[in-house]
Amino acid sequence: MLFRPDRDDLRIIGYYIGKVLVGLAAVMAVPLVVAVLQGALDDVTALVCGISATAGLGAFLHARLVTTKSLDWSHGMVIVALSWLVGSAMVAIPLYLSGHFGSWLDAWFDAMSGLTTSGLSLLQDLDHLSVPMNLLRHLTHFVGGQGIMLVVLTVMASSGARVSTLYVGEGRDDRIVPSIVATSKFIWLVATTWLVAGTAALWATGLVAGLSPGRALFHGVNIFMAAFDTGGFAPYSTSMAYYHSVSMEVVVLVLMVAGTLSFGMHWELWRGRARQLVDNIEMRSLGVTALVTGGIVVFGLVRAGTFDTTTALWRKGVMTLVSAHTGTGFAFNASTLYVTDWGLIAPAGIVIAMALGGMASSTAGGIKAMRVGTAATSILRDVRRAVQPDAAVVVASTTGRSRRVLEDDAVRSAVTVTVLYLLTFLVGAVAGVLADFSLDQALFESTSATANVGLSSGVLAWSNPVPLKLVYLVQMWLGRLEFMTAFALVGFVYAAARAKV
Amino acid sequence: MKPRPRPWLRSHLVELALFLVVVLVASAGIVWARWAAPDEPLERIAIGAAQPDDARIRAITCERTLPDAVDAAEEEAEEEAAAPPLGRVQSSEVLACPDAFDQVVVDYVGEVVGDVLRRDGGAWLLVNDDAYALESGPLAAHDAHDGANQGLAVWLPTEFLDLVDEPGNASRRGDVIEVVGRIHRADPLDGGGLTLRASSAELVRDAEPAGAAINRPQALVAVLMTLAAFAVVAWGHRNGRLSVPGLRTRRRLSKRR
Repeated sequence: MLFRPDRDDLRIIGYYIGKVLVGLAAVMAVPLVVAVLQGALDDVTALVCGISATAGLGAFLHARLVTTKSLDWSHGMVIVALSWLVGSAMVAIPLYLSGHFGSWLDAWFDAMSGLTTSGLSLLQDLDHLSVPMNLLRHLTHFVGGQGIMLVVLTVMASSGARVSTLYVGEGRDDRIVPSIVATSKFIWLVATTWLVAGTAALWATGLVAGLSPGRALFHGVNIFMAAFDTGGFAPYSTSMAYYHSVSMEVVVLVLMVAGTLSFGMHWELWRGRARQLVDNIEMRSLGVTALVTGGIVVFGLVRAGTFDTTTALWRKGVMTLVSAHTGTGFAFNASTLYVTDWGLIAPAGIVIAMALGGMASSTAGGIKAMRVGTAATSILRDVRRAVQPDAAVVVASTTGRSRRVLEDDAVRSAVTVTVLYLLTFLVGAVAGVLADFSLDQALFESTSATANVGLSSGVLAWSNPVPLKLVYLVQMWLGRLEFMTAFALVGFVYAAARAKV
Repeated sequence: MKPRPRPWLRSHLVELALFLVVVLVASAGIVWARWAAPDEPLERIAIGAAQPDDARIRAITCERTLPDAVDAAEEEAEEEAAAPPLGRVQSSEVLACPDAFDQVVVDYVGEVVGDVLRRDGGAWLLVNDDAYALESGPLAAHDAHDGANQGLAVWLPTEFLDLVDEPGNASRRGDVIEVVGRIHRADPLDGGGLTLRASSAELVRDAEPAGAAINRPQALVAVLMTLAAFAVVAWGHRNGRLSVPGLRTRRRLSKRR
């Protein structure tokens, strides 16, 4: 039975959304500083509009609905689901005012894509986009990758509040240390450490690639945020192919893989437990699926005659595969080439890799290695049961950060979410076909949106019909929140609407 | 009998209406700021009449060469390589049929954008031939939306690098160059990338500034929205419901809430 939300429920939800908006306004202040330093007046005013609207609305909700009541699970889920919708809508304001979008919907699409670390874009004339606006787009990756709720959790010291529901609502279930606030701070510590190291490495390799020191810093920061947070935006339309640099690609490869590791795994590595890299079920699952999909892609490219040198197969084929499997979405060649030059088998391998995704509680999207590993272990257990005597007790276990017996509930949960992902891929593909795209292209794009990858086969364009853009936008949102949080919002709205006033 | 609104809802209807009005006015202001933005497209670049070989380009078919037909394709490519330049091509044509253009010498015109990535013997350039490059200029300066960028990666030998002074960015259309060179569908020197290796180049038009005019309506909206945001913060602070760093809150939150 669904309980009708009362005044206090709405108050709590509005209050916490207000906090999130104030946090997002603070994030938008970073590109504002750059715009001021550059003297880019139109960018300054566009960002001021965005910051004022976001901070103003956030402050109003915070002040008007202030409450000391504690969160419960349903509040947390609804807050998270709404925050991603409202937050992206507010970030869209400066993007829209940049003039690079055909409509506010397109700007909202990009903001959602940025925050969900998808990387699909409806932005026009990216190659003439200003530095502050480019920085804003990539910052959305950095904030969204860690989770916009972490912005709130990190600064909230209210230990009495049940803020863990916000954490879980963003698709994380891996509490690294007992305190959720301490976990949030650890995640920011990891991200910041990688930010410094990754940007420095990209800056150095950018210099080698021929960039000036200042430009190398600009590219380094932006590419870092897109790579580590498995986002996929890039400062120029040709994405990673812009740089023609092996050394940058090597750094990006490391960052993409680091981004797809769960923060729990970072914690283990932080503590010197390198053994986890071999023992962990997710690592094993990732290894197997990467090998299989990599084999498909390489076979497909050789079969189609696309590339005939090992270097080309690595720098274009394997790098694109890693980009897809980690959920990053960097392109290493022009997107239309997937259709015009890659044959059919290699893109199919890319689609499978995109669908599988990275590790749970990471910045990656997709079905996730944990669910794939759990389902595979369950299948193996059932096979063993079938071949053992009836009296035999067959128990399977999985090794995450600790060894656990595989329970039916875990299998059911993994399979349920997997089925939801598959259905969403299908719905998006049907929408693409209805918009007159071929099935393979539509499936490619739909999978990319739902798994928050960002690779495109050329379907996504500003000229797409509005319903198709909305479908992709919802897919990105659903994929990032892993369905349950969004379903909780739907249930909440239904409960609020069905009872008599 | 009509259902009566709940007392708390009724008492807050005015407040809710006021809130919605503010949101609508702010939204209208943002839309107006965008609508009233200066619209100053640059002059279209005339790049000459259609080339005699245009018909030959249009006749190219987009059939992918499978490995079984590689030998025949290689012979064809050798013949093509010995042929005179194909004529002016657009990046969209090359990207649509990369195999058909492989090893073909072409003429290509576009704007240099981004960075000049200098290496030994030359530099990598991103040369766009989309509408922003050759027609209207950077999008921030006008309202002629024409989709995403399109261009080719061009390797320009050192002797021609002096031609490129200012690549395009948000505030200028970059140098527009014309290059003659060979298309490589999977350039082994670029790890398999699709490239155009120029053998000659000339400057078609110098870089020119774009979007100098300030969007005054947007500045006005920014000022008004800032004032409104400060008003909200001041109201919240005055009522003791919002703590502002560096300022003491006057009244603490009541226990009732």
